Amino acid sequence: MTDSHSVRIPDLRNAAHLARLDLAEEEAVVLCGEVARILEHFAALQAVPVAGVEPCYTAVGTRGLPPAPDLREDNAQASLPRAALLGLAPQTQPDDEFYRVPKAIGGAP
Amino acid sequence: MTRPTPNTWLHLDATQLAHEHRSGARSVVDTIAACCARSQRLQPRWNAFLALDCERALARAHTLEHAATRGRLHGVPIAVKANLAVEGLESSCASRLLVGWRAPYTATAVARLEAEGAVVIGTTNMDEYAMGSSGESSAFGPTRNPWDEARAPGGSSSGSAAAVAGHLVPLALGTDTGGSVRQPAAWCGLAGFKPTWGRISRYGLVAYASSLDCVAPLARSMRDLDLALDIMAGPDARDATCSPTALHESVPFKDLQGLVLGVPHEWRAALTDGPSRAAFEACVEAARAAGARIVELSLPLTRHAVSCYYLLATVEAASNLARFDGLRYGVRAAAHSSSLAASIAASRTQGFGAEVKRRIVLGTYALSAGHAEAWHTHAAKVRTLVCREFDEAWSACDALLGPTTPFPAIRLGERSNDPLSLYACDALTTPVSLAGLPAAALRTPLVEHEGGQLPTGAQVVTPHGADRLALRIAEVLETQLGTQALLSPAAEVQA
Repeated sequence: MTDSHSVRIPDLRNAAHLARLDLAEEEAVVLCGEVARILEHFAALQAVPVAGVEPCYTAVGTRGLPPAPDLREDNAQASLPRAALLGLAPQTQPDDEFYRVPKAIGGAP
Repeated sequence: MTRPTPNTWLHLDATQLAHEHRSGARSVVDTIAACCARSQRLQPRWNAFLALDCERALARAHTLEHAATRGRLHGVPIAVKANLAVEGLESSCASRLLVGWRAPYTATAVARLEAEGAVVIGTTNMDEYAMGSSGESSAFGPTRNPWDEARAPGGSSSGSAAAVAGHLVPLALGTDTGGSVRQPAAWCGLAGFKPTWGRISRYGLVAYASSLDCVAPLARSMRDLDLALDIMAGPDARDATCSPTALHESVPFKDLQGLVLGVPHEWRAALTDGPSRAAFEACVEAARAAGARIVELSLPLTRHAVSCYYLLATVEAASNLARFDGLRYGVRAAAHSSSLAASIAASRTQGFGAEVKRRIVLGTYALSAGHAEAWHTHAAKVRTLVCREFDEAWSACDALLGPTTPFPAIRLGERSNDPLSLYACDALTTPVSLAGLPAAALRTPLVEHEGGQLPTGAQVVTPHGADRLALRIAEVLETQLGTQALLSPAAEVQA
């Protein structure tokens, strides 16, 4: 493993922040330590030479069965009833027409 | 190998049970009532289900009893992993964040089984969001292995495997991303099948790693897996990744004459204990005795498959699980409603379990600026090389034969504090997943292990699209080995 691949705990803590995980100090220490150990183990993968190799991100069309050949027609279709979906929400407006969420602008970051 | 039991109908596979219902030899209502009662009574013992809905199942049974049209799964009780949507049933993915979430629609794979007469009796326990190899990452407690209740049934389709091994249902749906159906099949003495990626619609499946996820059945016979595949496969306008390519028609093989089976050296070498090695060698001998020619070959990248898989899967998981924010569905953290960002972070932090957080952080890091090339892109290039290794193998053989897991079922708690040692359980299933290949998990002989008898398994892997070839070969091997009628001690457990 080269220096450029070394795992720094602050970077992992930043990743937790980017993933919207609000870790307590003790939990962050444990979790980031575990992830660092896992990545250090996975670093053996870096020894596999890949010069000139294209990455494989999906099985569609290249690895696996051919996908559906066409997109479907762009026609309006019935959707699930609004009430059924709003009924699953933690909070809705009293008239049950909108989701109710915490303040998005002007609140704490 | 087989054990007598007074509950003879519990032995029946889905194919036979449906036949008896269709012919009128057995009442659908009686079957569903008995399965529901047995599942309820044994729930405290194995914790196979997250939600049982006997009222719904019995209402459907009464409808089917008098139905004019009788499908290929007429009246067959099935269980569905809790990451697949079944309208009206709780599909929480075994996560605190989704507790109480009842699906407003039904997944295509489940709907197709229901259209043939299957009756869903409940959704099953699992590793949270399908992230695990033992069933222990469920927020609702681990599932126990009906063969030995101190052991894990495997994961992540832990509850589906226990439900079939415990003779609660003859057929269950799981999902296989990196081995989550094949590995529990091996540890619970079941037949399991991972289709070619794209073969079965994933509409209604909660995505974990989209380039790897497959809906996959567990059963006690290969013909049930074939039937379930036949019913579920096929294009779906709601899933653009679902292929329109038809399954090959085929009839069961009498033997394996004319077929060449490749046994990868690295897969054979991964077996860590003598009895497991002996069980696998018995399987190779069975293939030979059935007329197959055995060739040894090498898949050197096997040793990197776990690392490659976990890097790619966690990156995809970090993206897929970003949708869980406690805003439109799921549980919202009550204490943090001062701002949107704080609410989302609190809901995710309180809602996700330790393994899910671990994988999300790992995946986010591996895709973050400055690290993506070294980790994610590199792993994706290694995946290309893994695929090439399989492509080369097909020039030497018709199918690959290898063990499914390096060792039999682990004890509950044995590895739960050591993520890397749990990931090692997937050493032989992840290469196949990376390449998107079909694989049939079959039962090999029981082994003596740590003072008890435990199941073992092997997998038959075939080229893309040759799903039925894998099942046909596996069926012959089980017949040759005499494991096709393997019954767990749970068959004798009276509810």
